[in-house]
Amino acid sequence: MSGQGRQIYVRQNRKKYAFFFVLFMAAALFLVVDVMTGPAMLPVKEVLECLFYKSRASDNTRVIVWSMRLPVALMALVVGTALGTSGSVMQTILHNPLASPYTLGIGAAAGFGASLAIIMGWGNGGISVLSFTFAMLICILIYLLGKRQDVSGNTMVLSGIALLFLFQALQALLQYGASESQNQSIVFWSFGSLQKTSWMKLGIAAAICAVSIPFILLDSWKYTALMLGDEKAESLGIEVGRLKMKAFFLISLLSAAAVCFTGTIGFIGLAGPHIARKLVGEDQRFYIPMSALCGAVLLSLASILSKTIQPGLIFPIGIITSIIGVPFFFAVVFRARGGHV
Amino acid sequence: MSGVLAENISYSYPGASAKVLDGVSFSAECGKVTALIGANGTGKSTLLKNMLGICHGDGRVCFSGRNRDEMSRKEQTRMVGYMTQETPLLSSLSVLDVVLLGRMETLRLKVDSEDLERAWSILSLLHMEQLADRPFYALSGGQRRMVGIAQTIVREPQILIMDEPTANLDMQKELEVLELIRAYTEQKQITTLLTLHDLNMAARYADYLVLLYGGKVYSSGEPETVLTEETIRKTYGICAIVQNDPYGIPMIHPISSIQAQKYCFA
Repeated sequence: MSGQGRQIYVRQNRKKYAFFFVLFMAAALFLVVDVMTGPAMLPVKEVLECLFYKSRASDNTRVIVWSMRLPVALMALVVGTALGTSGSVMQTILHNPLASPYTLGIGAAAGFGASLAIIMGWGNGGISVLSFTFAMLICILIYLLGKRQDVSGNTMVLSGIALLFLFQALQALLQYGASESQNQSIVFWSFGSLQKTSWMKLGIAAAICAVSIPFILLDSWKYTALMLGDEKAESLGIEVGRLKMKAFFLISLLSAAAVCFTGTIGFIGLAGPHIARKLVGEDQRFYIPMSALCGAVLLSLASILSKTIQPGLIFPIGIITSIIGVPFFFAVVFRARGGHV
Repeated sequence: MSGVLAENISYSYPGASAKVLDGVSFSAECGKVTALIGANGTGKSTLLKNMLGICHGDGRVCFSGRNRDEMSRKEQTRMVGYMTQETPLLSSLSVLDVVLLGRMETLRLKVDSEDLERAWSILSLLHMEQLADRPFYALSGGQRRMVGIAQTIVREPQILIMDEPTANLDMQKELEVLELIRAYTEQKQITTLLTLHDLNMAARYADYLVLLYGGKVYSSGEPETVLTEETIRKTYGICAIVQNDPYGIPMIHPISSIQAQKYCFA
């Protein structure tokens, strides 16, 4: 009798593992292509050789691959992972498919922090620190709002959207009084770019992912129970308030880490989870890591496109994510019959 | 032995001064089905939530002789299965996943065989094996209730608390669900406490009734002592005829609402 249960269980999950395999391979492929692509195109053989046998490559190739392109390509994967994960958990705990680091105003707050740092003449590190601080600040604000008993997930999302407008306006105010060169830096930052990546920034972002994501995944059955409603989850013995507080802290860290190093990259945090839901459903053990993987693949693809649309020129990645993301997103979301988003 | 004991439960919603529950005390016995009845808004669901610690009112609650306040969340979850009113969220999770969630305590990232075995055996006990891989949102209201029951009993609780288990069900499903609950209660010798709207069903399937009115227990005991024309008129505001069926079970025939008789559109 139990064999039958196991059989159905294995059958319903087999397809999900296949999707994981395909997307994982896509991520690996895009990583290599991303390193190959740039003002000077490198052949695949040379890139692979340089990646696996560093000493055999020429000095030129080694510098291009290891110092310039690999950290950027890896950053695309890491930031995509962070945005995808935080978007998926936000959508789950707020019961709202519109929740993402961008729509909750985290990107806008980070943008304001960065603009403030630019105007105050702070360097690269200062920009990251201040944008991280403001991103965390808005998360705390949204969280405190949500803690009030009568505030629903929808109200939290609406408050996030309101704060998004507020921070955009504040940023515009700063830009209004800024010099031309400061304005240029602010605009460039808010387009989102991976090009200022260093191994250290990559290390910090990757470490935050490596610490936060396992904590999130350990609670994935609890998040799955939230899909049936907070009261139902409570009846299954889950302390919903506590779970959400923990989740909110972890995803705040993740999204702040993502935006503070790369600027505003919209859409990945919204599209990644939606695509993942279509592929693997709502079992959060699959959905959360799949959202992370979809986010990583999308951003890596955007990174390649940002360098190939016009050879020799690197488009800001934030622009690309939206341009390629929107049609892809529509295709995936509307392909499902019944529109069960 | 009393499986559930509630003593002096009082509660008012945050910010409201009026008490929804005002010193409610009752007990529910092992191996019996106890039904909470009462008109809309008399605090049946609120009482259940207070007993489970989801709402925090005054009073004392004991489960199987143990004070709830001295039990950890884990112990309470293991002992008490609670089925909420119908969930408004329609998830795309499979039925098997939804039932597995009932074993939250033991679920690991990689589901082990025992959890799967239990979930599957409950599904086959309720004749729902063929629904196992169906998405939850694609089920009918009745099927969703059955899945809810499967999820609640899959961890084999000693106490079963259900909030309107038969809401929105057709007559056949209603009878099926209540028969199942009664049989399970008797055979497993557990304590079952549920809220019901249909007084005829309450009379037929519950061993004891607790009738709430104005936040207090108006009457409690066996159906034939609680369900009288007088108590129904007072607590539900309706005129009804109560007769016993051939098995001695009271049958309620509602005649008219006392409130409706006052309407005048002239």
